[in-house]
Amino acid sequence: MAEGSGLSEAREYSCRSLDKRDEEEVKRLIKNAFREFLDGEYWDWKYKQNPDFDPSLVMVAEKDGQVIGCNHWLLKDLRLSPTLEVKAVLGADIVVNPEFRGKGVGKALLVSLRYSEAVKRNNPVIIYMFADANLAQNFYTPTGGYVPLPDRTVSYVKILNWGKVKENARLLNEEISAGKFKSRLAGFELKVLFKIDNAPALCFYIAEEGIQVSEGDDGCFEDADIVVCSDLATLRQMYRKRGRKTNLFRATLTGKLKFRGKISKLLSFYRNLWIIEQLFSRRVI
Amino acid sequence: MGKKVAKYDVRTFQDGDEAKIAQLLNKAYADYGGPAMKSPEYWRWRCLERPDVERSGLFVAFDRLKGDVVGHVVAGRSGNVWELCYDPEHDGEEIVPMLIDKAVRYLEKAGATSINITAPEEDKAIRRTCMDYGFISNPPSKVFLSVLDLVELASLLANDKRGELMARFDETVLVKLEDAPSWISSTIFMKIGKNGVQVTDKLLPHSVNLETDFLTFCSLLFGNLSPSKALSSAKFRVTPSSKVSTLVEILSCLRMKTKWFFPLSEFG
Repeated sequence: MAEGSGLSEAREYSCRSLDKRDEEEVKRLIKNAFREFLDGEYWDWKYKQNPDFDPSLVMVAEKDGQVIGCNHWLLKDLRLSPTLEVKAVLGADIVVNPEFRGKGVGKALLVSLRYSEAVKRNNPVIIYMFADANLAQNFYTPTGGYVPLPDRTVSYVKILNWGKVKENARLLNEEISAGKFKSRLAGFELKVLFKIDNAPALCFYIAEEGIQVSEGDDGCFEDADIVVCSDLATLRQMYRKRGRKTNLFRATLTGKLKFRGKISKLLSFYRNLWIIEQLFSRRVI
Repeated sequence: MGKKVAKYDVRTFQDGDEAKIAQLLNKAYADYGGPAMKSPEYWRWRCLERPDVERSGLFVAFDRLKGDVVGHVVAGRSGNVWELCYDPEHDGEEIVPMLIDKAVRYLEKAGATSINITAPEEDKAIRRTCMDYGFISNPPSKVFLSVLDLVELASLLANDKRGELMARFDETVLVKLEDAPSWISSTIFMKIGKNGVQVTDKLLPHSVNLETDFLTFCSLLFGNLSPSKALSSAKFRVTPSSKVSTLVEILSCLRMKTKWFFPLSEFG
């Protein structure tokens, strides 16, 4: 199948290789999709300045003159064993404009790239990519036959400060100022101190008017209503998307999460756990 | 008794270190599967020119006596430690704490909210130092692999094991694949005999039939599924059944036994 062939035409968009005039639109798509990393402003470095960059290995999907999706492949040499090295591609950023998701654009981009002249010319044997397991299961495996690699990489993480929690509090305070959560927070007041192993102490003063966050020894309350003691691994476990409350109970029962405070305050804390969830959201740990 | 003199020291990156660092990476990860380091220029782009990396976050460990580069760390202001590597012939227990200490201090000063280091699971020096510094281990982003040219891949793997295959087997295997992506041929033939190894999608007279699905076959080749386990869970069918054990042995031979490692600098 050639680029821009029947598969995508039947769906009212076409796929073709990147053109210089597409660059700004592609950068915008990337920026909107990956704001969490360097504010999404890495396209020039990652692709344009990359010694391996081949623009013909970037496919864009176009509808009515607008770029609605893009898929980037980068040529690599991959060592399969100490004695065997093959030509490969790294399946890098793939983005589809949210308005056009669920319409097969991602699949069309992937298939178009596979059959492109650039791939025929370079003849890579393998494609690899880094992905979230859910996205892989729902998109990459059914579309491209990807399997997880039994890799031996481990990641070590340490919290230096609670800047991300403060940013979450700022966003939450904006919503509170705009009148959101008014009834839920009416008359509410609580001082919570988190003592997390190997991380700075973290304090929340939660009230009807908003949330104040402080960290480190200086800014924390000695008169906290509740003190929560735990470690980062337990906290990370608790803030996974699924089974948060189950994880909370399990961690409490096994002593990995300890609470200190009056019963009435603890109940109040539990009833308003959503605030803590919001403060720790957006991949704090 | 006199004070023990440290064998290594750490300094910030200097122009000209690129070639030594590229060599170091190739040496440190020679036993691992993963991306091959191509050239010092490529490393320069990958680390030095990375948007969140400044020279003051790039440290090089060296042998005080000989001056050789024996390790390096690349810390980005985002909190990602893009590379942390040391010469396996030198003392990682001494080099790694020095490099991690520099990275942590730099990132604290740079205002990063967290530090993220990736390393091979079995690297004890990095693990021990990270634990001493209060890091927790996290599952990293998973790497997924697929095949663009199965005939070529099977041919490369078979030729890599050519000696063993030729000595042990005399079979032509027909592999029939279900649910393969459109660019993958649904049948391939592997001819193994004392004259050599051949993999093709052109019809050959065959002595064994293997029927399976594409994902299972890839999992077998990439090493995350053992042939005996696949057999016991009925993931593939072999005819004639008298050839089952031969086929399991062929697949075991072809299967990659690679230890994989992907530095974080490959990811961002």
